[in-house]
Amino acid sequence: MKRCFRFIVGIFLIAFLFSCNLSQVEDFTVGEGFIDSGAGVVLIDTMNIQTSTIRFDSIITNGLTRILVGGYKNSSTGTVTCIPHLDITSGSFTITDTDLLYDSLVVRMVYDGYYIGDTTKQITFDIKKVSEVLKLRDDGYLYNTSSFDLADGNIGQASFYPRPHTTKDFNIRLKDELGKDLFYKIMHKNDTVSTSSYFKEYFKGMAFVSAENQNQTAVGFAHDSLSVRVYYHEILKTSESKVKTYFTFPVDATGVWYNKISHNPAGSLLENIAQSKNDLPSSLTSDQIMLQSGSGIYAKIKIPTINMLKGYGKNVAFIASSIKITPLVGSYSEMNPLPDSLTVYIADRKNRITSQLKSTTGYIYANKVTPADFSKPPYYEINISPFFTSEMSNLTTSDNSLLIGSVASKAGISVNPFVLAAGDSQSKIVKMQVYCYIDKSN
Amino acid sequence: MRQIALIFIFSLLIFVAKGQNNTNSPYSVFGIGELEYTGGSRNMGMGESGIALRSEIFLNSVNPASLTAIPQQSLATDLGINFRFTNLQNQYKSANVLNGNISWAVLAFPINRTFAASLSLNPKSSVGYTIYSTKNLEGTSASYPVSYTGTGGLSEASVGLGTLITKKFSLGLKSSVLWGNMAKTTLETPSIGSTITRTDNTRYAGIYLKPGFQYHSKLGSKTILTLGGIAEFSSYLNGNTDLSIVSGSTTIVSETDQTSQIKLPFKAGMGMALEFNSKYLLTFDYNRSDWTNADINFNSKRLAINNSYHMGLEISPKNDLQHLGHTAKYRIGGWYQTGYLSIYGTQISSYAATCGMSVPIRRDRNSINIAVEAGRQGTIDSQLIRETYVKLNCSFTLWEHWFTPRKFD
Repeated sequence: MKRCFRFIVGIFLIAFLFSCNLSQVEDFTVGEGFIDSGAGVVLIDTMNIQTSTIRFDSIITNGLTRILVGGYKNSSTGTVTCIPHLDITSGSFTITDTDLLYDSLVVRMVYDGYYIGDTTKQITFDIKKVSEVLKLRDDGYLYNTSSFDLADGNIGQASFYPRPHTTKDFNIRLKDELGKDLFYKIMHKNDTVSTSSYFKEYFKGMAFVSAENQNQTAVGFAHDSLSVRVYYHEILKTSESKVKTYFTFPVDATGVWYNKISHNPAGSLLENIAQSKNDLPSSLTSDQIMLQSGSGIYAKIKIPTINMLKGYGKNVAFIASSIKITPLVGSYSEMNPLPDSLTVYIADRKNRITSQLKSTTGYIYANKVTPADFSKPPYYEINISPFFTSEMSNLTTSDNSLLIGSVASKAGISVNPFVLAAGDSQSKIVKMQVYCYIDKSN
Repeated sequence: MRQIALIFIFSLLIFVAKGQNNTNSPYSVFGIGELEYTGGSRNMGMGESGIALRSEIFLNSVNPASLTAIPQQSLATDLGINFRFTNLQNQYKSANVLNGNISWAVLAFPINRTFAASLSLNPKSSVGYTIYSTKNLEGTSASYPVSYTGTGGLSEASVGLGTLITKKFSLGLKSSVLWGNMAKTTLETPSIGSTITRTDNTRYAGIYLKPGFQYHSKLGSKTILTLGGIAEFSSYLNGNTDLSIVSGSTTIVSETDQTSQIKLPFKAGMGMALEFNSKYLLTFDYNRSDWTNADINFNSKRLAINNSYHMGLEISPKNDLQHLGHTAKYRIGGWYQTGYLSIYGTQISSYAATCGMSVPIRRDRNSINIAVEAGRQGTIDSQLIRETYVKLNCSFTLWEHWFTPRKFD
């Protein structure tokens, strides 16, 4: 029995040692869905998405590089009218010859290439003096809706066929009444024209005033190219030819200027936007949503039930989400080209921008994708994964939304309207794809 | 005392060995893994039958009612080990693997003339796999790669009780505790986003009850008929999972102690044993378990009703009634089961042929038992896996007398 006992113990110890180190687990490839665990990666494209067009009460438009003049009207967003306000500053003048004669007073600018509208139509506007000093509001900005008192009457009037692609000077003749006074002050070395603080009291600024619906084209001029010139010539002796030259009042680069841009949606799809608290559902705008920078019109996309994704299964891990929006064919053209990218903001319940959409590596934009198949229209794609991630942690239904448009700080330099619409008959303006890992097992 | 020492060493080894991979079967991904056979070496040699087997010299773990056959004043120990050589094959590859583990430790003894008891410890199931597959990206027609790995298994400790109701009719009840860990990792690599790594570490615990009966009667002078029946009540295993879901390197879900439940199905079996002339013993068993009622944490459409059929023959050539324990016994058998998994519309059936023998050692009723089973499970068709295996089981049945001191008046 003793030997038997040892024998058995021995056998088992050997067996045990063996069992520790036999074969490695072999890997095997099996067919699809071998394990149907009820968990896996799922594409969800049926989430409720609410789309609307919003209009900001105001957008910041001061200190921009572009002076927008004219106006533009379209059936989607309505009429915009651009009324830039700007000021010029004193100059320094060296008077060696007193035998000078006044010629003319001119505002001189250079096109910066921007335009929207019909360039075969004339642009007409009045140049008016500002009767109160141009100054920033307490918050340090001026807005498209800001306004200043203007003096009655014009100091000039412009009427021209725009040539936005030319780099030559563009001149507007001002009234000689002002010109002669300036010339007189220069010739008499009056401090008013050579000391900026005195000059500001004398000439507080000017505005290029287009009346609503007056113009069908808006063009841009480079702000830093602007100056006011007082042309003069020397008193002629018979043998000499006339030499025209000028005194310059440069634009005040440290001063205050802004583009006042008024928006009137009358007669457009957005006609009732004011009545619906500046947030008009796409169902009321022919299933289209609009964007137009200068008037503060942004496309709004709201996905109210993101936080409910967690309820799609026992364990839900969000992977990625993107949305696709397609500009309405015909709403863009060579004259109104689609930008390569649009800016995406996150806004709160009251459509106040809280942040710009960004990932850990930088800002995320709506990027234009042009399909290789030219019969298909271009569209914009936005990776909204970071938005999803933050919205999923909400405990309740979220009121946050995405606003798509131009960079808010530069919205005042353009009035191009764009329209987003369902690319096909499904009448879904926004096509969203959400990839999640969902465990539906119980 | 030595038996007790053996049992003790053995139990220790069972626990230590639980950390190992006792299986390489891709099918162990399902449910609680690959079920270990724990019925006893004799039963295994006879086609894993034995619902109606009772014996004075062998233990039968299949039916607790058989405990009443243990002679008075004795203590039986049965210790078994397994080696399994498996060829795994599918359309893409063929691999040979060898596994070994301790298969059971049983202690059985009568309590009095009507009651007998057993204590046993054994691995119940084993999990060990690495599987590459693809998965449909739901909502699209695209697929993406996914891999699964898993290790672990369940252990079982049981107390059995058998009682004689009449001389011919016995009832038994086996109560078991199941416990163990399973670690499963799934890697999902969809083309969009980063890899999703899901790790489930689950601790399972549960109990189940297995009643049984046996009835034996003489048919004529040389023939004994035994009928038996068993049931395993549907039981629940409570799972406690530490779960983590990591996307790339960002942990998205990390939860401890998520509770879950596995519901094992009700199983019923009946068997018959016919003994002729103390020389030939013929057994038939039929088992049925309806896994469509089970809940093993994956789509129940993949589960099926498992029917299994077992048949065995034992021959005792030297039938010497005076020296029963000195007689070697030879066994042969086979079984077929329809399988509880149905994948891609194919039920994963299996079948095996078995043989075995018991050789007495030295004296008394002690014996070495050997059983060999050659079988096959699954198919290489429809992107499935076929396992062809040879399993060797070796067990020792050792008996000791309990001397009851006589009282003198």
